[in-house]
Amino acid sequence: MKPFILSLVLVLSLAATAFPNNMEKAMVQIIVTAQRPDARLPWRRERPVLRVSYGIVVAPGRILTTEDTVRNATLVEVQGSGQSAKYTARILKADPRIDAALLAIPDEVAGNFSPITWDGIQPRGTKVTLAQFDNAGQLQTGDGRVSETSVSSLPSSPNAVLTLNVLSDLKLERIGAPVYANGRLAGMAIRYDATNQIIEALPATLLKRFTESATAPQYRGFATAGLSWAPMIDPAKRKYHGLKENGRGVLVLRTTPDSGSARALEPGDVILSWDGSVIDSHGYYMDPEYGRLGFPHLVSKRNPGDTVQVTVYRNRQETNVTVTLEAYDDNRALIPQNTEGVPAEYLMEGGLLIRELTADYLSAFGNRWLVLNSPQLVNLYLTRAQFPDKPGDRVVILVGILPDDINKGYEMIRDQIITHVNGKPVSSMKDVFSIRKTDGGISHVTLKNFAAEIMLEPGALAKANSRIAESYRIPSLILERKGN
Amino acid sequence: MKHILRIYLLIGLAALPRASTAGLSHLRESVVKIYVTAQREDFQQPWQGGTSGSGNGSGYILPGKRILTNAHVVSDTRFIEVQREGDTRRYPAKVIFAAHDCDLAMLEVTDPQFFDNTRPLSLGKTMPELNDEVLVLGYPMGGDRLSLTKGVVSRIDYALYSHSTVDSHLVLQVDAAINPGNSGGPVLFNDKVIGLAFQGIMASQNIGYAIPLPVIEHFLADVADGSYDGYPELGVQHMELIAPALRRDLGLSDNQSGVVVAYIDPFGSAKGFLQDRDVLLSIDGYSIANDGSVSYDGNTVEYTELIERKQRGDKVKFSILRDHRILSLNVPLANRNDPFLYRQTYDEQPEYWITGGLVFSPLSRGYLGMFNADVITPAIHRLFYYADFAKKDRLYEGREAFIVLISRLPHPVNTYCEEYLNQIVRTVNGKFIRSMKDLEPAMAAASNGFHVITFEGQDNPLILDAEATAKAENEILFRYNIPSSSHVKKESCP
Repeated sequence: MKPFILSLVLVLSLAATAFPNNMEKAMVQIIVTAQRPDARLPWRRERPVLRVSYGIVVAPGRILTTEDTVRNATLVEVQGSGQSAKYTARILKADPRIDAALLAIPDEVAGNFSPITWDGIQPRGTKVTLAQFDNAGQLQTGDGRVSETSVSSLPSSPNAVLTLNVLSDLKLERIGAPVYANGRLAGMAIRYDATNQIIEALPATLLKRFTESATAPQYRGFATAGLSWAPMIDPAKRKYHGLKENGRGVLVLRTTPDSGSARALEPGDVILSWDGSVIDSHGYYMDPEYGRLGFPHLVSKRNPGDTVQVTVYRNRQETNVTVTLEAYDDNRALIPQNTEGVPAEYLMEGGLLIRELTADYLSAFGNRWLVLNSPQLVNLYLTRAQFPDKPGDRVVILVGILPDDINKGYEMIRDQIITHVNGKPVSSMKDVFSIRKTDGGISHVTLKNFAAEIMLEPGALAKANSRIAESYRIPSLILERKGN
Repeated sequence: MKHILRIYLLIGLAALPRASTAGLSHLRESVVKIYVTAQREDFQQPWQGGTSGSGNGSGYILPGKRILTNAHVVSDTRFIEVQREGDTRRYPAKVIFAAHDCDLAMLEVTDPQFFDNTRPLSLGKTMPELNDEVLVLGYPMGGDRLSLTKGVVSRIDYALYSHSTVDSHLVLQVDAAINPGNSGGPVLFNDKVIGLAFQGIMASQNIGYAIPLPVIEHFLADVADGSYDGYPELGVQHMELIAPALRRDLGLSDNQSGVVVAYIDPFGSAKGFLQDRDVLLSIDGYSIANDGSVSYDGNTVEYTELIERKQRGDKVKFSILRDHRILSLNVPLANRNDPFLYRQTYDEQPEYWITGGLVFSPLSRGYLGMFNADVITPAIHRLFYYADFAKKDRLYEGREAFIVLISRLPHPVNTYCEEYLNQIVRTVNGKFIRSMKDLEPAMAAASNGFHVITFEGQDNPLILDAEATAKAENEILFRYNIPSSSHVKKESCP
């Protein structure tokens, strides 16, 4: 009889952990008011929008949600299940590279919630439980299973990270919802495909690393390799590079200037193994826990500053090199992503609005950005965004001209690349600001491939600036960050 | 209510012929119906013609037994017939001049009998004014009887000629509807031709566009020597000269006016004569205002309109301010057959060259026309960018055309080449590709048994196994039913 009782107890305890009793208290609703800066008139803010997502209590007073939930937030509030009280939350860290944000609520209310415990690895087939609030604010759960683990790029970032695809019968209302396995947190929903009922979730391993890094004295973030690569499937291409037809390896196309990859790798290298794992010709490796995964996961699972051993095929020889991984630095790009939509530095001089080109400037047009933006700017972005000629180079653009007496005859010029200001070459706003400081104003702007310069009457500039600020109601004609 | 309306309508319709028959019946002897069978090019599979279809348009009889119609009526046609009202016979006709830059064409009828009892129409001397009443004649919507619509001149302005997709000329806007089939029909003012109906606006009613007298006169003068040369292009972009600081920098005094040259087209007539930052003060003695207008015939028109009236080989006289000095300059007007203008082409099979199932063809307006601009990919964006900014961003330098990998005829030698579709070829086996003619010799020089093709803005070259490719050529052509592996024009661009 004894063995029977034992197994019964085991079954009961398993059932109990599948539904943790603190699930209700480990989850909150997050209500955000956000205002995006107007990319074309950067002193303006767009209309406030209201976003509602879920958050997961990961530590006392610490709540995890997605980065796009709190982007450009003017107010973040947290509300527990079935509670009427809303608590104002502070953003400790938001990282668009992995689409996660950590919030803090006041210590005195932290006790109203109880944190989750972290789960480990969830291979394909893992049974999971999803949770959300129903309309009455009560907990609603649904079953699901991990149908796929893949390395894919996030909506907010071109960098690929590991995500879990969860098939579930729960109709998910909002993102940020927790995914549990064995009663522990296995992931957080970041996207929901309602048609196919597939939830894309960030895995616990990634979220736990983010949470720890976000609460540490200095945020370390996630590593990038700074290289672009292509599969090596084509037998002709493999033979051309001196490789076996059915072998392994992917081709290095370009490395970000001045990056750890640039110091160790060369375009034309074929990466045969990375950090101890063999890379196949599609760019996959065999992960001991998740199965076949894209090799960018080998990069993002590491910390910035780590060094990894890489075997490449170079000049028809296998060579071992050491690559130092780094955190992605948007400031190094020729055209920064600025996913968070940080208000851009700008200068409004004589009605001329000058700023640097960023991806969020181009994406201000929405889904049709490819068609609606200046083709020259789009082409530059598509071909060179991550590859400046020299570090620190940016694309300085004339966004447009607010018509005034001082700029008559130029009003129609917009979305042009500026090469010189007051006759001096410019490759960043830093240059523009320093020329303005030295010369006491900007009176002469040269545009790329445009012979006739824009010239403003220097003596009339001061008056025109205050006239323009007043009539167009511009609170500040300049936004310059301290770092400059 | 319904009854009254119907009676009123009937009276209205009946009134029209009665009032007009007296003076206008002879017009039946002047306006002809044109039947065409057209076959457009297939820019995706250029070795075969596209689908064919039939249609009809209008035209009128010119003095000298010729017919004037729109170029778009007779473009890409395989067979043309003309018919007079009241005559059951259709007479074969052929195009002797087609002016695609201004949508005009002249036809000739092989059988001289066609012109028996016809009456040519003559051109008017002056253009009508706004609100003058004009008649639009033609055979709209396929009818066999001549149709006559009255309208007034609503506007005379510059507009894009959609047949060429890139040229703008004067356009006469009338409030009479111009429908398919009307195209090529004359617009009369005081019994004289002052326009040729040619395009409408899909979304608006009662707006019709006609090619006005000056454009018709320009065409007739151009073909008088037996060939059509086309409109010459000055090729200058200017900026208004209002800002005092810029005026001072250029050395303009307060009583001088003009515009400053901001860009010179490498294929335009001004190239080699005018320079960047020249101030154009006057053209042929007419003073240019700071906004680029001149006072001409009592009207204020853009200074470029004076060039519109000139032919290739004519000179235009500019007074300019260069380096603070006034110069007088004669610019001979040329038409340099600019391959980077991306005007729609007609009656011309697109060039192509096939190797290993990869089809290469020059970038053309016809090819770009296959894409819906709203759903473009980055590769397609690059094609549009290269077409639109070829000269401005100096992408054309060293080239006669942009060569595009337009399609892949699947075969084991090219299985992995799909990602290169719609990319612009940069080099083949290390040789820079300037034109279609460069492909074959470059491909003949494989290195180490491989062909290496690089593309613009692409770090990852396409690799073909030279031996396997050579072996596959005939098999691919046979499998995809392609009569010839290439159609590349011999003569080079001037």
